[in-house]
Amino acid sequence: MNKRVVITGVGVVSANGQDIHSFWDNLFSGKSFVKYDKHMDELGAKSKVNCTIDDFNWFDLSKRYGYSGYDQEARFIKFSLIAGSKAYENSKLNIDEYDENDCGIIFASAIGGTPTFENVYKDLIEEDTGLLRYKSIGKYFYNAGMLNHPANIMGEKYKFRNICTAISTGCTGGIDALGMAYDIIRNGDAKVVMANASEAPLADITYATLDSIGALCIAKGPYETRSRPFDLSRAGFVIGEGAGAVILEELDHARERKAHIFGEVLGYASKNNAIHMTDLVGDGEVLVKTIDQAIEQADISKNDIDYVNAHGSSTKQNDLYETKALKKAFGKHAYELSISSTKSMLGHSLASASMMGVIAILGSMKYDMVHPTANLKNKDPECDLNYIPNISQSKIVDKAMLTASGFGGIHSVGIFSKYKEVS
Amino acid sequence: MKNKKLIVTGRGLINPAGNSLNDFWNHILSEKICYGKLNIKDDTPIKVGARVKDFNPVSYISKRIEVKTDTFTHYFLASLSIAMKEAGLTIHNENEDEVGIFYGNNSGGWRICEKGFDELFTQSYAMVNPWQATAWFPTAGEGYASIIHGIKGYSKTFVADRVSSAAAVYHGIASLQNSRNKKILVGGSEAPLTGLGTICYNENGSISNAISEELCKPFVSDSPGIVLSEGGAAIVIETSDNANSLGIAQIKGYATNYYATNQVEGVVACMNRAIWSADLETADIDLIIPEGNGDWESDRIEIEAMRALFIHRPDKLPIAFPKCYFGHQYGAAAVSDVICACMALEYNAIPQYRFIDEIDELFTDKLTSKINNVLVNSRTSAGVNYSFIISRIEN
Amino acid sequence: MYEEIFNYIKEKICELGFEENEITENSGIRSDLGLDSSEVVEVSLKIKKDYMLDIDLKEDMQIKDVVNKILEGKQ
Repeated sequence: MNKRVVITGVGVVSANGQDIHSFWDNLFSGKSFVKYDKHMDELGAKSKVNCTIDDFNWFDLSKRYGYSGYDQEARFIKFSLIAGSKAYENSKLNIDEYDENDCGIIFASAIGGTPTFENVYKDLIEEDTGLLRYKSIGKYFYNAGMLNHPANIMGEKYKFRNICTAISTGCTGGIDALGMAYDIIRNGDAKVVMANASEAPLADITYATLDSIGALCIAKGPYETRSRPFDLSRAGFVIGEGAGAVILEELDHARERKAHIFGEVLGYASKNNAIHMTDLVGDGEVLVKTIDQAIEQADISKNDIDYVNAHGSSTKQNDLYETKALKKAFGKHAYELSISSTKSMLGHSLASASMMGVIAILGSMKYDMVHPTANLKNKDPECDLNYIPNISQSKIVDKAMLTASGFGGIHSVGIFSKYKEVS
Repeated sequence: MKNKKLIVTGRGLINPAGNSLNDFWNHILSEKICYGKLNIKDDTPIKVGARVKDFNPVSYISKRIEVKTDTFTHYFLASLSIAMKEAGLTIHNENEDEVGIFYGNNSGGWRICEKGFDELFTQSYAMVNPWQATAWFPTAGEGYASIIHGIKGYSKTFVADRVSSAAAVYHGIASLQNSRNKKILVGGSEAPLTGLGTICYNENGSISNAISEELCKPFVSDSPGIVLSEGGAAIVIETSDNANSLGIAQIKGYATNYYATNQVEGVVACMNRAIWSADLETADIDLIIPEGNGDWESDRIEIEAMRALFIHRPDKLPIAFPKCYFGHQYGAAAVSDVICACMALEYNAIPQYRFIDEIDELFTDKLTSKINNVLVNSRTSAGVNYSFIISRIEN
Repeated sequence: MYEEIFNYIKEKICELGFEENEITENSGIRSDLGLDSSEVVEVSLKIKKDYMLDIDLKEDMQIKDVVNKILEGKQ
């Protein structure tokens, strides 16, 4: 008999807030945190906007959460540690009360410490020879690339002795880490697993890489409006940064310690489209199959889904592909869904974006309100579903779905519900 | 839910010791070391490593794919094609959703990484190649494998230091046990032997910088460190009721844990749990292929743990150290070791260990009985452990 | 000049793994040869580097269109 899996802790480090209430309030307000970036402009990037976290106070936060000694670590590691610790803190797990063999952690990131790699390369390359000249850098260089490092740190801090690993599945990383944690608990192999995803990708090579394939936002208009998922004038995604973490827990374990339950995980599925690393071809068939599989596992009807937190990356191809997939998967009910994109306000923080989408869903279920898709002014006749343009809507959100797609042709879907005693 | 019989039906590798199973195994048994001077033009502190030889990617993949991808992806795709051929596995409409890829890689594409930086800093921002985004990140292995073979099932990529492909094996197996997949392609690869790659790995403190033929002496206290290596390895694992063939070996037991402190206790617990999950006793283990990587700080913990678990054996425990011949492949290491376990079962042979007299007398490099059960360990210096029991297939 | 540039384009596309005998001046970049979006970008980067020209390569172009674009750019 599969175990029920609930979410008992949530932590976020995001441009719109570093505590879940600010995060939710700002999402509901529809405020965009996308900004002009002078450096991108001077670099010659086609995209001139990103979404940065300007008020991340590592000095204070590291003291508060006991992370002195990690000052040299890459930014994505720091984000991860703080988001993870916030999630642990609000889960009210007590290190003296749980069996450490029942607790684990899964971390996800797409490109980890890329800015560190860039800085090291710049530091070591000799202009005249074009060769690298070694000088001692320190273990933080190795740690920047080895994505399991944040999992190791938090696993040690919180005495998580069960699973401790890291995945790298591009832009689906966050929901994939959650999905793996869900499987592990559902199958009885652990009782508590933190799923944590983090990204701090803002570096010249990142901009150049994504610009090269035309993925980054070149939309016109005021800078804060340029991430505009599903809008007719959408023109690429806005790169962002941040981290999100959730504590997944086996229901009986959560009940026993009277934990606050944010929501329940009902199902998860992930597939590869096996066509192209970046191009989305067809009418969303593989995403449809992924949705079908997740809903089947959740053992609910498709008509039960009230809200979809979409991948909605603001690229021409994704938003159309996703719309087609939602229509195919849900039929008439697609037009009754409330759908919104968190990326419209926070840009696309790669692996952590889908984790932020999960946290947005938890806020929707808590407040029975769905955040808007910001900057949606020009209707695209091919994207004609209810994307909640610009203003939040009150809606009873009993069950919600998150969709995510990523480089590598990966599609992942999670199904969530308000916690109810009887399943 | 751990009730499905899991069998290995195909193996493939691209390894400094050989690019076919026979060449590889014969090389290991002949105890020839495969590492030497690296001849990297950049000034890197790592002067010696183990390179793959005589490897032509277009023997396994199309030129179009070769151009778009890094060496680490070439190694994995080649290994995978060899493994799928041995397994007799082809992907078609009826099974494409039931086959998944579980892939381990520690550090992505160094060659393309340096290419991109070079384009950015010596040419211009606009000249960075269009494959930087999809060739550098570790997921490239999984992504291209799925595209080439049309594999749509549940798949994941693990980036977990030395245990990257061990994590791939473990979670791949879990996907079979919980019915997310019916067959899995599990593997790993690594291609760190570039200027920036070797500099990065040097900073982890475990890699040997010596210029010597005796670079890697697992379980010996004066071993200079890990020999950095490269290559790929892949296996096909199927549930016995879905397999097309009888199979090569069975994955009978598996376990993982993380002990940041009290690491000896952690290794013991992991091995114990793997043995228990295989419904075996410690006395049933006929061979151990440890992590045994030549970094004494890591090795001494593993020795102490094995001593604690196996001390009461009436006879010495046969042990094999494949890494001392071809170095540590990081992303590919664990699956390479699983393949070695399969070869040991198939041929009932293990390589001699030239430094056997210098290690704990608990161990021997001589076989005294038929190998039926092999314990394979993979672990990180931080304390993440994986243990697998690879067994002769039961009728 | 046309021939020289045509041979150059052929060479660049062959470097991507295409067979020389597949490429004629009437070959559609996408419709006949099947270059994907990343391969089209790579060809345009090569042109930018070797001819110092920013050519907007569209996937519905034929090879002769590309050659002519370069010729126009050089004038």
